[in-house]
Amino acid sequence: MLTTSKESNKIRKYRISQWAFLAPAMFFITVFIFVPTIYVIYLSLLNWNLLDSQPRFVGLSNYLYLFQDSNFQTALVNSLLVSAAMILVALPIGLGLAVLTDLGLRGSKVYRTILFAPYVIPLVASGLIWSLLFNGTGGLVNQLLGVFRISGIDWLGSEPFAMIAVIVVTIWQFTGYYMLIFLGGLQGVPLALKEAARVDGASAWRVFRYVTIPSLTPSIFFAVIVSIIQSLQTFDQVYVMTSGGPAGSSTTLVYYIFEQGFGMFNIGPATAASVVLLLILAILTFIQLRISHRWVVEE
Amino acid sequence: MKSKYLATGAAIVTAVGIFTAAGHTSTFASTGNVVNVTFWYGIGGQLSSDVQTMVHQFNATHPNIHVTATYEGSYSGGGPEQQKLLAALAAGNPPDIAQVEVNSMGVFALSGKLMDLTSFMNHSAIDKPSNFLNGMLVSTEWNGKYYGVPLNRSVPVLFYNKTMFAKAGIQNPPKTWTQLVADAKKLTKGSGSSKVYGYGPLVDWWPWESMVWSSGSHILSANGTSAAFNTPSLNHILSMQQSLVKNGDALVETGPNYWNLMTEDFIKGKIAMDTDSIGDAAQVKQGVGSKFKWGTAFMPSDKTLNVPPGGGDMAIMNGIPADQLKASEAFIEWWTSPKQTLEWSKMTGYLPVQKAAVAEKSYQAYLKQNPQFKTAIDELKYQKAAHPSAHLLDVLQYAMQGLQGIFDEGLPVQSQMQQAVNQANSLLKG
Repeated sequence: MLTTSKESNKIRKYRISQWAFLAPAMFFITVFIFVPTIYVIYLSLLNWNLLDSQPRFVGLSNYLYLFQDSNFQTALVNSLLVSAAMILVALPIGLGLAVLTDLGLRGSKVYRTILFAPYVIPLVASGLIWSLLFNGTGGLVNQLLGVFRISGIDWLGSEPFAMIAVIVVTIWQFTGYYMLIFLGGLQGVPLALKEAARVDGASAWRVFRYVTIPSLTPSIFFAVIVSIIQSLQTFDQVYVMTSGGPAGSSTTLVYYIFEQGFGMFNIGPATAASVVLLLILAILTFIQLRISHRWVVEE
Repeated sequence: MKSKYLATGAAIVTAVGIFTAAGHTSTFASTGNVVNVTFWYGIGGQLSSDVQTMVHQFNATHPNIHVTATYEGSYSGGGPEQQKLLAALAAGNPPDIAQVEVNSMGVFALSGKLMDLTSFMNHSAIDKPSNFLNGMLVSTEWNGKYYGVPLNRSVPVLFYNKTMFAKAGIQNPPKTWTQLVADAKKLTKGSGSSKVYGYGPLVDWWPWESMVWSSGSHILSANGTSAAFNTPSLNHILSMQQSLVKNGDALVETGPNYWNLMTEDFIKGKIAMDTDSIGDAAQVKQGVGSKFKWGTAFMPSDKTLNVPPGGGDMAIMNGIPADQLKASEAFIEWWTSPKQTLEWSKMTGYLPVQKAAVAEKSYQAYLKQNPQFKTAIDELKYQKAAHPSAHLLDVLQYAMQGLQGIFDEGLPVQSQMQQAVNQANSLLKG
């Protein structure tokens, strides 16, 4: 009996220290994430401009407003387009570059640095640089296209080019980051497995397809989740390059939230859109976590 | 163990105490002999240093007041200064004075967050309402009360290239939109990179407000619960301009820098006419130099001439301490007095706000040399503020999107304006 009580004492102490260690993090997460989240949900039920002393409770009508607002639909579609572009274009390019720089050819370290560089540049700065490149009159992009007798594309001021320009910049910005994630994954692929496959007479492609890729799945899984979250949060590029225009055609979800909230003082629809974004992210993450075990090879 | 926890706890409590105490001392230190006033403004670049010059002068001549002016990012609708002011007001920690964009003034004034300045202005020798130029106070008067004093003010005017007008055999600048369209066709010359376009529409809600009124229409219904601008007469004005674009007689600038680009098109002689802020006249004057002659005229109008105010006003936040309020009023009186408003005007190109300033000999001589500014001074009396509505900024935003659809993308005028009306209505009724 004596021993068990001693043990339960130990356990109790252990529990207390667990909570003590958790407390600081819990405190900040509560103050900066949980409380604001609940407050945002509350705001989304109001008709308010942050200024009036009497906010009006309107129930779910802000959500109804969102689904009738064509700008919100455009924003939703655009955000998903950025996600799709990241997964279908940026990730494969990142993987390809990772494989190339992993070959250990001469100067690959230099290339690695160069390719990663865009990610380090603040998005606002790269947005400005690309605004100049995409300038409709005399921008470098149009001059290069001029060589192929394509001329006069108003990149930042016409549909659908404004959104395409935003997507191009986003891909340019983040591809190097994914390359680095994959590079980390590649360096973790067990050499023994590769050699064994080679000894068994597998071609380079088959080694890549059946040894490298499966070992990379945790990295790919991570990259897919991160890229979706990043692309649903697209804001800076839009703010700097197009201001969501023309006629709202390059608005993304976060830009929509910003514009409703701070451009138009519509706190209700802005916070309702934030809640919708939170739900989308939560659902996507949940789905991915649920299905990940089907294709992610954990060691 | 326990004593250790206690010690740590005590240390934390002491630390917090010290911080709080430090916070208090710094707050109270200001209420000695010198009253500290905070002033947020939102005009950057050269204009920001102009503001600082003025504030420095004020502080040097007022030993009992110290104004700290900070640039908070652009004050335009949705700009960083406005965002910060919104957040600061919501948090109950605003500055004493803030520059408020004229078109947003109603939204802020109606919220009750701005000090009612009616009594102060009525009793002030300098800021008496009758001292201001006619039309200057349209942006600051809401429901019969004044909530702001004009700070940096402008109006939209028609800029036209006199040299090109003479070459095309046109005597006078257009007075109506119909005339403008006819002139633009005559003024369009050449092709390729040397092509000159007759007109460059400013795809913005600001001149659009003037077009709405000029067509005899209203932005909102009388009770403010619905948008009223989708009328055949407004759409006619827009359609005429749209067809100029479609026929290659007008050049549209797009993207976030559309406004600057348009001003530069005029300076470069790529467009013969545009509607622009008188606040850009200084830039145009400097850019054009002696390359060609140019002038300004009233905004074209088909039925009634009305123009929206532009720029910003100074407002005092509600609930600041009495000392700060007094000091803020002194600062505002100093800034708007004829001497300073003239100095500010010459420094920046914004309009002087007081009658006495315009009447001064030096300014009259200045107007003789720069007749472009006289147009704006004369146009001031046609200023009109849009309907006071908590949703005005939304309505303008949706209208602007409609305009982008019309001019940037060539979409049908009627359906674009109808869409803007629908979007606005869903908020106005909500």
